Amino acid sequence: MTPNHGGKRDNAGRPKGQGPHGESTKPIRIPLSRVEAVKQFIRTGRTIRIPLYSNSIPAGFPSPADDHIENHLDLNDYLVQNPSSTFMVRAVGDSMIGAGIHSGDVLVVDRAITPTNGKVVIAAVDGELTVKRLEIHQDHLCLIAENPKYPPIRVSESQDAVIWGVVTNVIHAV
Amino acid sequence: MFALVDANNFYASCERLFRPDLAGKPIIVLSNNDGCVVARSNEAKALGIDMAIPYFKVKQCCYQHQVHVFSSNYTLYGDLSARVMTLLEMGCPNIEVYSIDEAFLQVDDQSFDGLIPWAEKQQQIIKQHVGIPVSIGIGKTKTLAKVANHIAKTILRQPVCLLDQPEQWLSRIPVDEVWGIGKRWGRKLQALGIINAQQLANTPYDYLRKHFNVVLARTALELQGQSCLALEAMSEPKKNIVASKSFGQKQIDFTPIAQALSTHCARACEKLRTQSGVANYLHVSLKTNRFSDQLQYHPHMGIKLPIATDDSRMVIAYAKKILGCLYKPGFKYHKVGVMLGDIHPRVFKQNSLLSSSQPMSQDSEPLMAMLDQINRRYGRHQIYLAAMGMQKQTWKMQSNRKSPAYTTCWQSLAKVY
Repeated sequence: MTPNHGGKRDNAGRPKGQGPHGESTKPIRIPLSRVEAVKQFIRTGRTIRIPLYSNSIPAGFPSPADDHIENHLDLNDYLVQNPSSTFMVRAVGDSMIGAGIHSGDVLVVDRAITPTNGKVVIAAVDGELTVKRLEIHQDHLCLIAENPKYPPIRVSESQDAVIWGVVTNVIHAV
Repeated sequence: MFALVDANNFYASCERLFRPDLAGKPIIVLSNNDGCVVARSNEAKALGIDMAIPYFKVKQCCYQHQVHVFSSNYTLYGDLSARVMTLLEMGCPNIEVYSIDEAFLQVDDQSFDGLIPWAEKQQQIIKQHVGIPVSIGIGKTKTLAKVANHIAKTILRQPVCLLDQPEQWLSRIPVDEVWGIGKRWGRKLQALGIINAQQLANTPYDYLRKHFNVVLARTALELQGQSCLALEAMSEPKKNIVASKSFGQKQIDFTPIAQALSTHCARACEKLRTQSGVANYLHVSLKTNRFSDQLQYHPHMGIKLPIATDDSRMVIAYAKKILGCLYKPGFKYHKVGVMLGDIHPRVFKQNSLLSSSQPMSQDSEPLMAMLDQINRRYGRHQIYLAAMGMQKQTWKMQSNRKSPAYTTCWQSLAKVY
């Protein structure tokens, strides 16, 4: 046995507090879905959210609403499931008016979602991005407008068309 | 095992994402101020357009072959890069983001046989979720992972390459293609008869240490499969911060140069504050264009700041004093730059005995924090110091061919029909 080998060595390693944070750090467990939010929090120092209830508390008398504050409303939570694969685009024209998409609306597009039959998708057809409803047939795809003025676009193997992403939400100002 | 994930022609791929009409078309991206070519699509490479060549030399060729030319759009590239890195981190938490378009992953927890399917899945996820094509090279060391990536891209032309038997390949890799070996070392090695990567791997450690240095000796060990370079998980805080850009037009007068310098100082201080540092050293340089036949003048000067600071106002004040010493009328200036050095974490900041006599130190922290917060929230240069100039500025960079900030600006969203 060599008692001098192994184990802790005093004063070994880099001095504490010299990393990018300028102070001592400790590892903690974070749910994967919240990693970005925590990083963002550390970067900016804080996040700004609108509380559902905001109460001034009279001394000695707890507000009955306090127990009911459960969360803050964040539109990102509501509209964006996968931040890394979500893009916003702007609709132009009235070809999807039947699906509630007006000219000038912002569309939330998630590229992580598999384009299945009936989804509203962004497709690249002949070098242009277009929003249409996807119909999957045995030997071809169809891109259907939700406006009788526009004929369906039949996409055959040879044609230059790629499904770019799946539309999850429409942001429409009234 | 290490994996190197590298986006293919990253800037060109970014420009294509919202422009399906550019699929299969030649694209080049120009450096700051539209000076040189910094990225090329495969189609542009095939036309013989070299990396880093000044744009004016290939302008005719671009016109003739209808090459799509873009000014660099770092807002877009930065956003797409962050998305790629986030996805990679979800697939493998041991990640070192090496540059805007490259990351090393340590993949020891993957079974060896599972590495190729795992890498192919990562590649597909990034292609589908962000729309950026990447190549993944896997090897026993970081240097071999780099070699594997090079093989995937240029020889196999497939997304993934696992280098389990490097000996078969290394003799086909020119020595100056190996990671960390530049043109200069490449020439020196070739003169010594070390032409390819296998020959470098076979060169004894002591010989390389003696004739070059320990870095190259380690590179040879890494090529043999002995890992010397670990993953650098957290990027070290920068010891120096540089902000320097050439002017849109040549400048003769003091005022616009001082405005440009003030803008660079403000940018450098903003970077300094994001890493919670304070600088002790300030260096200013002024340059005429070395490539013109005009009268040349390249003065520079550095000073130790009286107290360590991250305050834009103080840095600008001293930088302008230095510029006052450097500036001489009669030259056509091309570039002004600032460097902050001797950077320490803010917690260790020591107040000078005299600092109480300097009024700006009292309110500095909250004011600078507010400045950064407003500019982060509402866009850069929403509020700024008057020293940076108010009118339309001729010193501003040229970026005439910039694509919209598709992912970061509501006014610039891609249109769908």
